[in-house]
Amino acid sequence: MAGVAPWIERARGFFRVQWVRDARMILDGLAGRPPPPFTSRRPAVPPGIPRTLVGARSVRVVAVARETPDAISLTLVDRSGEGIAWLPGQFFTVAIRLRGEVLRRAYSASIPMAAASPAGSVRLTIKRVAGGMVSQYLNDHAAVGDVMDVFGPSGSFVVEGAPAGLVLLGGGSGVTPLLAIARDALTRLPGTRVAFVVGNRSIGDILFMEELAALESRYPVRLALRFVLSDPPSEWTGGTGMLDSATTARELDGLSLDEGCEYFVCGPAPMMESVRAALQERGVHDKSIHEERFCAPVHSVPMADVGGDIAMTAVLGGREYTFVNHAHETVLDSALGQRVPVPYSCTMGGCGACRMKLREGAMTLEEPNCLSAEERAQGYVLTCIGRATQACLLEAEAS
Amino acid sequence: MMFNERLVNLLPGRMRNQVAQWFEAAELLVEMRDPKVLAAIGPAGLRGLLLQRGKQGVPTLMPAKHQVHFDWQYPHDHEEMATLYRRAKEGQWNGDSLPWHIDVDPLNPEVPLIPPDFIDGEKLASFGVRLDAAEQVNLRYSLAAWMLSQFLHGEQGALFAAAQVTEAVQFFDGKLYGSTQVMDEGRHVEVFHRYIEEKLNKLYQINDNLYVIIDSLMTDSRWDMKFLGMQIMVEGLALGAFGVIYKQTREPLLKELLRNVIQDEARHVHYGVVALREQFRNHITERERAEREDWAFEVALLMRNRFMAFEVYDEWFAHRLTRAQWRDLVSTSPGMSDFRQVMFRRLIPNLREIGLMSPRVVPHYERAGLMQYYDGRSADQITGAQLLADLH
Repeated sequence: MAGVAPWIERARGFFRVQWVRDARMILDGLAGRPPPPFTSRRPAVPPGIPRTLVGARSVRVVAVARETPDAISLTLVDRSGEGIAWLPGQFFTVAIRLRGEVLRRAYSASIPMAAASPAGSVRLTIKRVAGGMVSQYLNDHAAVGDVMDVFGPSGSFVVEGAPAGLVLLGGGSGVTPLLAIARDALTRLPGTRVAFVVGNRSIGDILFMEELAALESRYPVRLALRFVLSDPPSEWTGGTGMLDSATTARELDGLSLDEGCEYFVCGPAPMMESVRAALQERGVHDKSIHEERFCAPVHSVPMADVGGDIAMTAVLGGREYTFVNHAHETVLDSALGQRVPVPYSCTMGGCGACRMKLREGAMTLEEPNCLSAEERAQGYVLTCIGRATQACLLEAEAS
Repeated sequence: MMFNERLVNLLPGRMRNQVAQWFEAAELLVEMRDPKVLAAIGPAGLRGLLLQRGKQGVPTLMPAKHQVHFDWQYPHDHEEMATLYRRAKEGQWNGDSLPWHIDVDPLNPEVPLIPPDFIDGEKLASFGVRLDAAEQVNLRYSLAAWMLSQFLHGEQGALFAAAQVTEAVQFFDGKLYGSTQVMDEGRHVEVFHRYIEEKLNKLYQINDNLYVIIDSLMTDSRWDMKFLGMQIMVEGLALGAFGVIYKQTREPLLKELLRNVIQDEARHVHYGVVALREQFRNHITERERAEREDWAFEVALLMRNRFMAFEVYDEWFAHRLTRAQWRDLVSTSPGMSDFRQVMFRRLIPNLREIGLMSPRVVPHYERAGLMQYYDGRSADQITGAQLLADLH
């Protein structure tokens, strides 16, 4: 081993030599790989944009676009006139009052493309979910001028730094955050190549087909785009099949992927599992696999089942707050109503921003939610979908 | 030229742009008829245009070969330079005091950074490329970021050149003045960099031709060549560019930033004229003067013909236009011709004043269409305030 280090050092020295860099410049030029024309001077997380934003904002719908028969996009602006800041890949939670109940659902954001989109606006894409009240309602009734509350941005499904390559694997409406990531990376990170595999049932189901094609013609070298259909038309030349492990493996084989790629996966749960398996099979490190899961919580515990007012204690930043968890309210709603500054973001159990440790007492949580089995075992709860059944002592993690 | 283009078109697609670029570089060097000028610029030309040293992604090392001139007697040897030194001390400003709180949205069409006519949309369409409104705004953002990035790279060159000249110049009053210019250039690097990082978020690589000029100055051992290149030519180019953007931008922070920078630059060019007039009249031979005269003409052409935003082309149009189409598009745009006009209106009278426009080269300038600027005022006859007023 002793002899290896100086050898490596010498090899590194060789590549530092000026004429080697010069020769590489010429060869790269001939191979059609000119130096990137610019570099991004924006830190990956711009200062002043919190990962999670506390508090709802009131927004107005300024444009409604029908993407497919089953999906619409709403372009939203903040009614205060302030621009909405977020990172590509993040999502917003829309709160809609339906039949006397406020329902919250998370939708991924993408960058509005239309020239008329006002600066600081955000576009959310909503796919109709069978039996989903909010998605049905928005698909059928959303109109320009509507006003609603949104929470967020939230989520950590974002690109850190400037990876050499991004591999984006999206199924159905999972393409939405990936489109935002792709466009951002292509415009902001000139050294990053992007491979984008989009899985759908049929051609008519492909979201943002035109925008994706426009990106491809704008970045023909740096973007490799593949559509995969499980129900392709007869003349189809793209990929075929469900995005299961075998199809994913085949698609990845067809891409010439550089070292140091980061993988971003978003889509229906079975697809995500298959893709993860395929990636692990290829030896992709877990750290390089980024997944965005959307859980649509159902009320497993009817509100009436939970008892009356329950005394609560929350420890935040070393300070102790007491409040009462009223019947018919989540712990989060009660805490905020009594001016206890607990953290939160999506308010629907999808992002984990409101995670606290339950030291004493008992709470019931709506399922499913984003807590992992490990987190549950460690006693974590989500206040936004939790109701106390006994007096509780909650503690926030030191931030 | 035509022959080259046909040859280039025979190559596989991915090689085409690279080889076209090399032909352009070769043309540039072949056009320099004077072997002395070629010897002064050629090596830098190879490093900048062929090897693209400025774009290798690592710091560039340039050997400097000038002599440092010490004087232990501290003479008061030049009254006009002493006056400039006093004015420079009083004219210092703090980059932190600019209105940085102003929110800059480079994509807001209501507050454009640069005017829309920098690229002729109709001409672009005639080449088969149509941009929608959002893409046009985005392209303007790229061009503005490109220009400001080149300003920043130019200021880095000016910072080091000012330091070198301060070391090498023989006038002691010139050295004292030079120290203020080093501070000025440092401040310019500070404010342009801050604007790019905080407001535009996009830094373009140094343009190959700008790299050639900077490299050839930094490695030349003669201080007056550094001086001529930096104080007269590059600062002249910068003043032209700053002036056009200052006049046309609607973005208040950028306008204020440029207003301050232009006043400093006016002092710098003034110093350049005073020092070089003295040097060229009294301290060099006629043969040396003629060499500098030819060099200045070549660099003026380089700046007029070659400063074409090819980095923006690489980003936007490398697969949709040829390099020749892009050059045509940029060189005929109203914004660029405005820029050239302001640049040469300043530059030509300065060259006249320092004695580099003898009858020997006048026909060359005549052919290049630059003699119309000959009768203007030179930098020693004009203050920063007048310079700004002229732009309105």
